[in-house]
Amino acid sequence: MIQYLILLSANALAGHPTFELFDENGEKTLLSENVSVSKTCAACHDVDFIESTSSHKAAGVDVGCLDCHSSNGIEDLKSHMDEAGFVNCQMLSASSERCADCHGVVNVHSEQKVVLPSHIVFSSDGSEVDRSLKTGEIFSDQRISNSGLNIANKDSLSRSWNVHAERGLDCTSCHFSPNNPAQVGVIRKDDLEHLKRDPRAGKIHDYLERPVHDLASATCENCHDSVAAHPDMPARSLHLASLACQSCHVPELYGPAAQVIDNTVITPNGPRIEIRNLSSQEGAPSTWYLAGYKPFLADNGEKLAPYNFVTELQWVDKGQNPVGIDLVEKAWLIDGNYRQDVLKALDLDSNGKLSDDELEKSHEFIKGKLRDLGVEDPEISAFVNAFPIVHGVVEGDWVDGKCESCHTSTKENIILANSMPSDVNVVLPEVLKGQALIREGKSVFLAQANSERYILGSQLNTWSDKVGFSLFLMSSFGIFGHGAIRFATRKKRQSSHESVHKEYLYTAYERLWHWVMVASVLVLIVTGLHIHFGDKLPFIPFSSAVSIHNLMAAIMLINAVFALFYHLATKEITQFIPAGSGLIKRLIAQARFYMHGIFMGGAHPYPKNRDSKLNPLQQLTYLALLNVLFPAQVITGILLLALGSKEEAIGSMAIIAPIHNLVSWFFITFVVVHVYLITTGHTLTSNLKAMIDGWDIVDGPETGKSNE
Amino acid sequence: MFGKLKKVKQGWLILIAFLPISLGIGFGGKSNKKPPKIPNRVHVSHSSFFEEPFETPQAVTKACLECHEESASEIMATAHWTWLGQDYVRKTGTIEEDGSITLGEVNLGPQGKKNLLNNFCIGITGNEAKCTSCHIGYGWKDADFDFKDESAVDCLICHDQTGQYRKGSAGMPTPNTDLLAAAKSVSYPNRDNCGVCHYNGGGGMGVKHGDLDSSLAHPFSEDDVHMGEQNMLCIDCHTGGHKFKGRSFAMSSNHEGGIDCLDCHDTSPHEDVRLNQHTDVVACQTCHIPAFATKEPTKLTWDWSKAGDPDRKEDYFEYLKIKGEFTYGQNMVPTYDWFNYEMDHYILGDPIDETIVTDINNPRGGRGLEGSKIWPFKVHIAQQPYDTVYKYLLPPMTSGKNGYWHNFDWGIALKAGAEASNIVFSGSYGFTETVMYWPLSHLVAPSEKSLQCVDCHSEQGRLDWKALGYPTDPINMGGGL
Repeated sequence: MIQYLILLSANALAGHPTFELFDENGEKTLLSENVSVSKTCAACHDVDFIESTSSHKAAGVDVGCLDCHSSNGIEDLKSHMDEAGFVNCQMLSASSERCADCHGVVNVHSEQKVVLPSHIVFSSDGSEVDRSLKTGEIFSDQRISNSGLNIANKDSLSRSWNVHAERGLDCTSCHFSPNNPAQVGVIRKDDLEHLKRDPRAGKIHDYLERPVHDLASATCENCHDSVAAHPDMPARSLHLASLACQSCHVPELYGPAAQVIDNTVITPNGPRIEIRNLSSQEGAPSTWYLAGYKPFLADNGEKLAPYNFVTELQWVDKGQNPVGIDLVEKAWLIDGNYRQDVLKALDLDSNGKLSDDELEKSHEFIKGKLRDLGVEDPEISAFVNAFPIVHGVVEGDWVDGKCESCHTSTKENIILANSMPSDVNVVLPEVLKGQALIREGKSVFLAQANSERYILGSQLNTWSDKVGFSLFLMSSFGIFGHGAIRFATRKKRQSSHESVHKEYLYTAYERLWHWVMVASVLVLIVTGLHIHFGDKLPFIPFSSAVSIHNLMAAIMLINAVFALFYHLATKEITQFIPAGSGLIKRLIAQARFYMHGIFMGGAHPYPKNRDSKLNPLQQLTYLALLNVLFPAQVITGILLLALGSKEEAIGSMAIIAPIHNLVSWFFITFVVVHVYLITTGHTLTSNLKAMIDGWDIVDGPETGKSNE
Repeated sequence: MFGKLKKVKQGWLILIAFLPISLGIGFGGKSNKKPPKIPNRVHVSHSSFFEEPFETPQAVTKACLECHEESASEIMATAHWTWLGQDYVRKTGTIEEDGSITLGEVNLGPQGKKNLLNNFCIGITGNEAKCTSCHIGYGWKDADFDFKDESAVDCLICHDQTGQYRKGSAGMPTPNTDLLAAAKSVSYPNRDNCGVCHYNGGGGMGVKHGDLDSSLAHPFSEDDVHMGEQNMLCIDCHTGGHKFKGRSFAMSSNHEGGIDCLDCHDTSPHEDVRLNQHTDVVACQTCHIPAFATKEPTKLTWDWSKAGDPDRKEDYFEYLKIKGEFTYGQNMVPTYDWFNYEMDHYILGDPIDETIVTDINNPRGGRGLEGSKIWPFKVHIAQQPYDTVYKYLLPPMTSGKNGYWHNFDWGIALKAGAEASNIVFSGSYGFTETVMYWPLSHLVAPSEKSLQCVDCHSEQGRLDWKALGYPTDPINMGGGL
């Protein structure tokens, strides 16, 4: 009682005035038996208007004011009436608890643990009644781990049943009266897309007199900005355009969700119901437990949205008209128990009960009984209900954000029924049109086709890795061998050169663009590997790796454009172009030097000087690097960035990404070889030093051409 | 030459400039202070240091001090030894003749367990021998105890690992204690070393604190993330050797040398901005201690006026002839109020109004006041004796010849108590309601169990917004703090 009073006083519409009770004839009355609720409310509220707009009434539900606006109906009024006949009952605003009376399991701000109602009725009309059984949705702020249900791995489920309940929302937060001045303007009309909010709020007294009862169903977008909420989502516009929010934000449902409603088998507890996510129903019910089930995604005509599919079986007559449930019940039961002849025919083990196996074999017998009851050619028909899942929303932390969870080649089966007579035709709902029904024995299921995509950072196209890595490995081995021989022969070439001098080889800008290139390439390689291997590399988060990679690519590209301009403007570009005649000979000479002369202390065939900084092999390498690899990498990179969010082009990722990957292996190999060759100057570090201060040690006597 | 150097520098500078950019993007902005690693403590075995049996516990202390010369003087400077805290500065307001109020401060000197009244066994003065079984010294049986005697420090109660070392009257070891074994066993204090006193404060297991009880000997992860999941010891937070940190919120007047969650944790530790916005006005403990006395019941009320009924059936949790009537509670929702780490106290002789409840202590703070945050409290309510003529609380003598527990006569017990405490007793007494507030800081639950929005922000929420100074739930006021 105390709890009830607290509930009443706390949840009340603050300041509902006292009122008197009226009877059917509009006369004041003191007797609660005579009270006409609609006449009483009509003293102030336009009850006719309310009823004419009521979405409940429109759906054929006979619902009165107090069904939603009180906790205990007329008794509330009676217990709050004073001697003069004035009722000082603070009327409840429609509370979530009252919605729960019909719509499913709701438990908000309550000390009571979430439990299932003792008796659930499945209404097969596709209405919003008993959503919990239809979909497994439970609206509660309670942590699942703290609820009163048997759920597998419950301890690890420290999230609430519904994040909106957890954040203090209740049913009317989204399902409100559209002319409530507090809510007007929240819903954007299609024709007001240029407005964020319609400020033309109604007057509060108009609302109180005529509250529209065609309750709103606010969508996620009414409150959330899905673009701003997902700054790091790959292919964001594509994902947001093709997926309902709930597709990700209802990862699993833990309430009992129906799988089959079998109206052909009526037990004393009602039609036979199969629960999708209930463990085996053997042993004591206290040992049964629920498991989470992933909702099934289907195209609702606009987006992929989550559904639960409930298969319903029923008897139909010759004209395919459903046989009334009363008649079927009559065939099975008498006074709420099985008929004796039913038991006699079906109870094979004679234990007085009908097991699932025994019920399954009942069809022929019941068919005969229905015939006796006057049904012409009774047969079983089956159809699948699609119940969209919109509640049960969790916050981002509990969303499975892994690309490969959806984008894989594996297909998941959607079980529609585990024991379906093979001659029964199953009618699929609109959202499943075009899906192929699979039958295996008595099972009927669909295959949930996952969208197989090449996912950056998630899947690996291993051929490009294999080729690239072998290249990298071979080069590394080559360098290692080369270095080892140089080390072994180091004594032979001591003081081999008689004349060297210092020369200013690299101007400040040349050094600058070179080091910018070094920095950007190194960062690109590191972040690129992170993107490529996804979460398998732990150092940088995937989303950061992507942003750094893009930024660095831009820096590198700008740097390259400036450098190209510099080289063209100063004609330095000519240094990179190998002169045509005798190129082969010069290449051989340079190669011979690297294979032989370098060990023996032989002279560089083409010593560096200010006008010719690159040897023929370098020229060839840079020609390939700058004209083939670099453009290839830039173009594939831009394509990945541009096409990654275009649905039509997303298939091309599987080709572009491996090319980008392969070229990056060339770059990695180049970096390794380049770094090694730096050590082949006059001293181990003289080349490095040259790129830092510009001065290198080169062969030959001082020419006096120094620019410094 | 100089020119060259300059060029070199420029090149490197640009290179270096890229590093913070790339790092900054990678680990964007968020500073997350990781709680420090909990040390794996190894203690030198003392088993070979002592061979001869010890005649007296003081001899053990002397042996300890031969090597640990500073230890006694260090611990003797702390409240564990003195049972006194810092000066209690009471804020006053005097109404002048013209009606204006002059604010002032009165320094009432150092206050602590030694001289403050509490809401349990009431006062120590005169009852020393009994109370000081939890004093870290030997022989404090009356006012003559020598607080400068280093050999009276009890090293073993904190360092003994045999588990057989227990203190009795005036803090002396109970008879037949094996002092040699205890001395050989010494190590860092584990949870039970602290717990032997702190689990049992107020005269029994779990009576006083609500967040310290014997369940912390082997704590469950679900109750205490630090001592349970992380298996931390008391001294992992109460650091600093013999001059360790930490204050009893309820008995202290301020928080000098206290511990703060922020000693280890970040100021904005939550991923959700909305949660971090709470930390200015909500103490960490408020959300992260969803319940107190989770495993062991704690005392909620204590009615001394019912004591002494020889006919009433005794029950540890309901009634004891010597103590009166109690109620206990387990897994309790805390009471919430503002607190700024400063506590006001009832000082012996302060006038009371017996028709209303008297605050034995009172947390300072309020909405909008600097440093104030909403804290969780265990509230303990008692019926205590007071002088009906002079209108102040009376600390009874409980133990000893004239004590209430000996002859069950309040007149004698209160007279003896008043004499020991040096206040006047008129001879007539009554009982009045007193309340004490215990800020909660232990039993920090794992984050999965912390409070959620609707635990406070809903019609049935646990905060009484009006009492906290808000016109209504601040979520209805646009989130104003």
